[in-house]
Amino acid sequence: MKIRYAAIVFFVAFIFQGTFLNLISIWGISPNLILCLIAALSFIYGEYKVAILGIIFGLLLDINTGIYVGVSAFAFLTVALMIIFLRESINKDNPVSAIIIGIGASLVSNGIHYSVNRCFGVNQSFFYWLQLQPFYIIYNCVIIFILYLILIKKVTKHRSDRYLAWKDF
Amino acid sequence: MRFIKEHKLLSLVSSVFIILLVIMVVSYKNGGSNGAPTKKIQEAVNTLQAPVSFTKDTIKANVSSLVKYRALKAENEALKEKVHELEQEIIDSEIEKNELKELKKLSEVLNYEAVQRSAGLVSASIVALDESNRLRVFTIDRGTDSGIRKDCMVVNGEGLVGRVLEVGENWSKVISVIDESNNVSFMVQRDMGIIGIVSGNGKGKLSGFTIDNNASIIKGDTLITSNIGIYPAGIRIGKVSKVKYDNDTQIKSVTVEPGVSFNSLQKVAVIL
Repeated sequence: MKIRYAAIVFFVAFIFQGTFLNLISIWGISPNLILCLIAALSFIYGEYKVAILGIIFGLLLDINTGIYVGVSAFAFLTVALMIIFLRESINKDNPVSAIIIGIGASLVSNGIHYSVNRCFGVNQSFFYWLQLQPFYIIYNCVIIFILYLILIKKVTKHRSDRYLAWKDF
Repeated sequence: MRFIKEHKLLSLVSSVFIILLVIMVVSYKNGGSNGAPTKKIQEAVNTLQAPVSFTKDTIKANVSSLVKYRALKAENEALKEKVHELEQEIIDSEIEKNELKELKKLSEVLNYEAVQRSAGLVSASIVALDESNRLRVFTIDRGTDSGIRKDCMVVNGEGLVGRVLEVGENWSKVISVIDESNNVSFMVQRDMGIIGIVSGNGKGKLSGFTIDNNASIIKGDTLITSNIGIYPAGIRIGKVSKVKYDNDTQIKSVTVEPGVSFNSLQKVAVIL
């Protein structure tokens, strides 16, 4: 994917994150669009450009609505690098892999936010944080899965070449 | 140097991580306040987000009205207004009843009159939420051009929302009372001699303790701000949902349900 198209998609997601996403929030929880884009694009394309966009839009998110600058950028960079390094060992043709990536990305990103907040003296309950994770994971996984289904068509052009792993069943 | 040349990618990634860590620590040391360049970025983003947020609010309002009926909504709003007015009257009469003249005098000095008369209030719309959307921190569309300063109080009809953390020309970043780092001093509306401190407990509620560990605070008590600290007196914080005495620390801790429904918050007012 060309970086300029990816940047436009990231920018739209960034604008929607703090505004329209509130419309579909449940108990105040909504998906993290930037994280979903980073996870899906890193998984399918495996390019470092995604990590760079993650840093830029992470910093923008922190400046716009965060208390401390750099936390989201740090989390997004970590997620992007982890997926880029792990993607060689994961079957990209299997849609279940997208779900696993979604779970991992949500936990790592939210875990970094939680840890940094704890380090900075914010008294967050671990069990309450843990209780919220399934909702974040489900939301993010749905978005990542949709992105996967769209993007895999671009990467693997022919229908017969897609979802190879499922053909064994 | 040789190691860097041989491991260019590793060196680059490590450098970026270190830079981000430094940015985080500097931001923490500054208490979340950022420099002029970030304020300019925030201004630009806010300009872009404001129309999108307005569209979102319009869609939300229309859909909500369709589902819940327009008339019912209007009636609900009117009733809410009435309830808040009555609550404010109760607070006023309680203050008079307890003959806390000094407290009232002091609260007048701290612009409590302004809260009552709404003369020094600036209404604002929420244009952006933090990425979790849990309203710990959010951005509003008013800034220094409307007279807002750092640490100004933010309220709505239901009570205390938070305080201004950072301010730009046409935007302000607000830290809500449910944020874990935001301490609020309180007094009990029923008995204003009972005072204490609450802050966010990380579960969307508030928790804290009373200064006097023998204080007769009970479940259902309404808490209002006291004059201690930056918050003027008399703004509703919420209702006590749990009282517990810890034998080890000898502290009477309270859990408070915030008066403000943070999940449906769209409009706020800033006390100048």
